[in-house]
Amino acid sequence: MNLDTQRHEDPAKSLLRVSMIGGLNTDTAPGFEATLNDAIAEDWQMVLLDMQALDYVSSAGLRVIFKAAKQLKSAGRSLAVANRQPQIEKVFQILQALPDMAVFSNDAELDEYLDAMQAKVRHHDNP
Amino acid sequence: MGRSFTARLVIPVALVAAVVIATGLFIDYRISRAQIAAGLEANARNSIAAAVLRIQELTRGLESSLRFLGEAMEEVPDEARMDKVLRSLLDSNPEVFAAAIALDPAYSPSPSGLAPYRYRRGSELMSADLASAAALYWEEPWFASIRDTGAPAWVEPYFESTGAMVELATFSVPLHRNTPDGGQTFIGVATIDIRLRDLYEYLEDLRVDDRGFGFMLTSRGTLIGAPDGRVISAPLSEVLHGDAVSDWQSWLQRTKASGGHTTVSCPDGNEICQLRIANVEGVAWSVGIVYSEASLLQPLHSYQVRVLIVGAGMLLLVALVIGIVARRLTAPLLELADASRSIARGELDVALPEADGDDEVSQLVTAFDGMRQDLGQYLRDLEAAAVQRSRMDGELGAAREIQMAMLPQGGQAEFHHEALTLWARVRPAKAVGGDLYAFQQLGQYLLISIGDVSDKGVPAALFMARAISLIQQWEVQPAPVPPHIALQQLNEALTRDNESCMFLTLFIAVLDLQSLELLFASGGHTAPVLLREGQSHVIAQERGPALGLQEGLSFPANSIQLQRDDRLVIYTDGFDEAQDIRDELLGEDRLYEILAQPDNLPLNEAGEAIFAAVDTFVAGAPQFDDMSLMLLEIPGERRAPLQAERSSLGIDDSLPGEAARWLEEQWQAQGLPESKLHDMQLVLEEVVCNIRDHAQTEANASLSLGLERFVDRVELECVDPGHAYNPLADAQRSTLGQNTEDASIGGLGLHLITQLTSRQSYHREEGRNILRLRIDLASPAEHDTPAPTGD
Repeated sequence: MNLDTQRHEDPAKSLLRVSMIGGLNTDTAPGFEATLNDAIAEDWQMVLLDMQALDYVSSAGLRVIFKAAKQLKSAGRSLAVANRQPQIEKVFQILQALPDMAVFSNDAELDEYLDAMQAKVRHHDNP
Repeated sequence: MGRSFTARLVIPVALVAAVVIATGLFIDYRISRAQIAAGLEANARNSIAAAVLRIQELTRGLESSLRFLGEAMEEVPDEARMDKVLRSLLDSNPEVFAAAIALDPAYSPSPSGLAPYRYRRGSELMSADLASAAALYWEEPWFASIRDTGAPAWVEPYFESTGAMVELATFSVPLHRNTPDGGQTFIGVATIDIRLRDLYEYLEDLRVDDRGFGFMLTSRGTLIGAPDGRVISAPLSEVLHGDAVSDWQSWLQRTKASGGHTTVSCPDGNEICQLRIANVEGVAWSVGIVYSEASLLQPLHSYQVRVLIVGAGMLLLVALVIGIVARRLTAPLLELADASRSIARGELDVALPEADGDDEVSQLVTAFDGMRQDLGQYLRDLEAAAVQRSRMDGELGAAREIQMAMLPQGGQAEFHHEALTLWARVRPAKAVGGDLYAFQQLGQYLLISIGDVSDKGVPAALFMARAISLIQQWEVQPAPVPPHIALQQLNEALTRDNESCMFLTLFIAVLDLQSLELLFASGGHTAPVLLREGQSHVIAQERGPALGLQEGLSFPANSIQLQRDDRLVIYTDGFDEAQDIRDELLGEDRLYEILAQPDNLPLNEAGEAIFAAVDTFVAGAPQFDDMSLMLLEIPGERRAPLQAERSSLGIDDSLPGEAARWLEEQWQAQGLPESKLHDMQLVLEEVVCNIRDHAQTEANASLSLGLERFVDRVELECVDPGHAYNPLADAQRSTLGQNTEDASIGGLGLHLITQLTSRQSYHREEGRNILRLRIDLASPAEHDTPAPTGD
């Protein structure tokens, strides 16, 4: 089983989209962890895991995702996931993964969320 | 102090004492007050009476002094004689301040009259003539009123301005001269003056203490008295203030004639005073006393306060003494309580309080000491008993191990053969018991027995040991002895030397593994139950007697033809006679229901489930009798895997990938539904990662993976030679559903395994961990394979 990742940077929204292709399991988890560590070091406001092409995720894979979510959250940033396939969603549900993590079914939801966040930030800066 | 004994004693006693003291004080106060008031009243009355008496005595004394003057004279006296008379009068009456003889002008030598007046100044006597005054003296009241009445009298006090310049009270006596016709004619007046101050001082009885004062009241309303120690003479209206003025005047007007006593405002108008007045007869004056009762009661108040303080002190002293006494009495009890706590901790040699005498506490201490000694003896006995018990337990434990070792596979056995699977278990009610089972393959035959010795515990265990050794002899014959013959032989052997009359029920059978024919015989044992196509049937059998009671018996032979997919349940009466806490028996009907339940479970799980169902019914009641259960299964299509694949993989870093590839290949080869592959892959990954990380296997060790497909399920079996590790119990299990901050990293895998599989079982066998996981397939396809009949 292999896992490829592709990065799409969107500095305007301070968003890094990481597309996952293949399967995230015991074997592919260490490489993906390194990819995420690089993303965390780059100071994006949000790291979005796009799971459109992810066919498989195991508990070892979720472990890496949990770890990254914790690191980002403690830095006041966030990790989100989008476009989960049904079997991936099933694993997330069984493990009741991070109820507070943002999950998007499509890009429209993501944009709506980001706009809301922006508005919040502006409101915060100019009350 | 809380609600200690001391407090319970001191508080009521102190309260009662306080009430008694307060009541006593109150009564004492009322009585004292009444007595003091009565005393004051009597005192006032007596003082007034005495004062009146003194005035009358004075009057009489003065009258007698003047009597010679009052007796009718032969002639009008001349001035020298008058002087002499006056001087002797003053010399003999020290209380008299002044004296005068005033002649009526008609008899005086000069028209302006003659009235020589002698008065004291210090120790001297001074002389004056009243006739020299501007006013005509015969018109003064002291002269005129006497001339008119012709009787001696006290006249209203006046301010003498002629010589003495003081206020005076005057006693006047008329003077007469005999007339030739034997009558008498008025010639003048002799007067004696007493300074009002002296008169008041003279009435020493009118002294009241400084809270009241005595006084004289003239008919014109002048008051002579000493309201603040200084003798004054003033109109009543000047002495009184506030309400007192109207009070006094109205009362005086009403009672002046008779005197008496009343309650009025005090002279200063502030308090309420007692007022008592008496008229002096013959003089138009009154004598009175006024005093404030409240002020006079002041000493009583301060006395009461002092008594109260002393009472409170006494009360404290009483409480203190009772407290000390109670503490002294209860101190041994407190020590006893401490001692009992120490004894409860097991310190039996704790010191007890001293117990002198024969009071209740001493009796308690003595009884307590006796209890302690008995307790010590009891504990020693108990310890000895416990030692004996633990030795006995140890022996019983050893005996149990020995007994279990007599049974195949130590009391819990599994036997696998291509034509048959067997599972058996014994659970004694006590450490050791009288149930037994045995099985032995003899060529194409399987010899089976299961039995139950009467009673339970050690005697039953010993008899069971005899029985099992005899059964083992039957099992090692070169050719199987038919069951009914075997029972006959066993009965002979067991009846010999059976003085204790123990007996044994025994089910004994020979199964032909090729034809599946079961020959069996029952020595008083319950019939087995056959589970066939989801139904339970009690097998019809002819039963012989129990073994060990009578020699020379024969036993009926029975047989039954078993089929593929059949299960046979053989049990001892510990099952159907299991009792719950209300002593209700499980009974055969309930047992048959239980037996029919776990039909689709693997044999070992079915056996566990039967025990568990009985335990649920019993619900914690102690096990009453030994329980033994033997299950036989003839594998058939319904129970056997349709396909089974097994493979060995090296336990190293490549294991998860290799295992996943193997699973995918097998899945497709067996045509299993794609939808379940993902679940099984997740489960397999967790399992192999656990094994890789925790099994601590040697290098080159391998993991054996098996995939069995049944009609309704897929079962994955993972066998590894690692250290004992049960992932279902030993693996870390995180709490699910926590937010990012609280979520733990890891511990997720076990959740996946338990959620995605319908059954998980782990056991360790011959140094290997065996984990079986099952995923149910959607509604099993209807298999309509007719069961082969053995006929």
